[in-house]
Amino acid sequence: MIAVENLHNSLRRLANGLVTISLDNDSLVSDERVMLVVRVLKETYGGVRLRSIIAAYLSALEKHIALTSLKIEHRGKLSDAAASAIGKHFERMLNRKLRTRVTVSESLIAGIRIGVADIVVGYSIADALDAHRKRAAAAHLQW
Amino acid sequence: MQIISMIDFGELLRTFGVDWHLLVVQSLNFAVVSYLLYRFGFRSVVRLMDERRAKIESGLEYADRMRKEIDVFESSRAERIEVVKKEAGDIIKSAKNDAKLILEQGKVESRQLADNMVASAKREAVHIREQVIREAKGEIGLLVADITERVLQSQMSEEQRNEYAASAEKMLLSENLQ
Repeated sequence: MIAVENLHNSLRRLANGLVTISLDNDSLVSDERVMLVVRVLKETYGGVRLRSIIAAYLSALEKHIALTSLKIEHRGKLSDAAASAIGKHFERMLNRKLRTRVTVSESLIAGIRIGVADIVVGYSIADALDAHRKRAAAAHLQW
Repeated sequence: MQIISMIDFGELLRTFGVDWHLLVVQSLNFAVVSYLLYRFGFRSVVRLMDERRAKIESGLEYADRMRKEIDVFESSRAERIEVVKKEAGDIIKSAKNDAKLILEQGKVESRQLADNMVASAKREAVHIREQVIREAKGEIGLLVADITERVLQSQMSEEQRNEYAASAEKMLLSENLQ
């Protein structure tokens, strides 16, 4: 059991190290570096060990990408300059570089919703209505 | 003179057929019979009569004493009956008063209980009413949100959406997560 835990810890440390060398100067994941790391891993390891390392590496990459991705959903006009300004604003607040991704979401009705990792900030009609629903449900559940 | 008188008296007795000897013998005989009767008959009869008398006197005394005791008992019984009647009357009066008090107390308690029940029912009714209102508000709130969402989804113009998005952008840029 202890040996398995030690193996997992070693894998996690290795994956975190691989993620660190997969980042560019802005601490964002670089596709080229990732491809290079994967190629080196394939040349170095094989079989089950390679699959375990790749799986741990992908998991660590996903976590880092989630922490460094800014998802902007909007309904209504949002210029590129406005999206960029929002991205920079959140970079300043979170003190790290973010990769911004903008999508149109019909379900918002109107407005903007921002998501970074587990942080969600909504300024949309759908979010306002959801908040209203939660208040109504809370008032209902008080009894 | 005295001798003459005795002779005369003797002659007188003979005249009437009285024989001295016979008289003396009969006298003695009478005395013996009298003594015997007195000794063996009369005394026992007298003793029996005395005993009877004593018994009768004793019985009479006893009867008299009993009568007196009966009188005393009757008088005391009457007094006791009066006392008992008075006590019974007092007890009945007290019982009536107690019953009245208990009845009044029961009425008061019943009234208080009824008042409490009414107050509790009123509170419960208010509570239920508030609950129903809150539930209705919750349901209405959810309904309003659903209807608003559908209406805005279908009726909101693009220009309005743009205005809303621009407003949201300004608010976002003023957002400070820390």
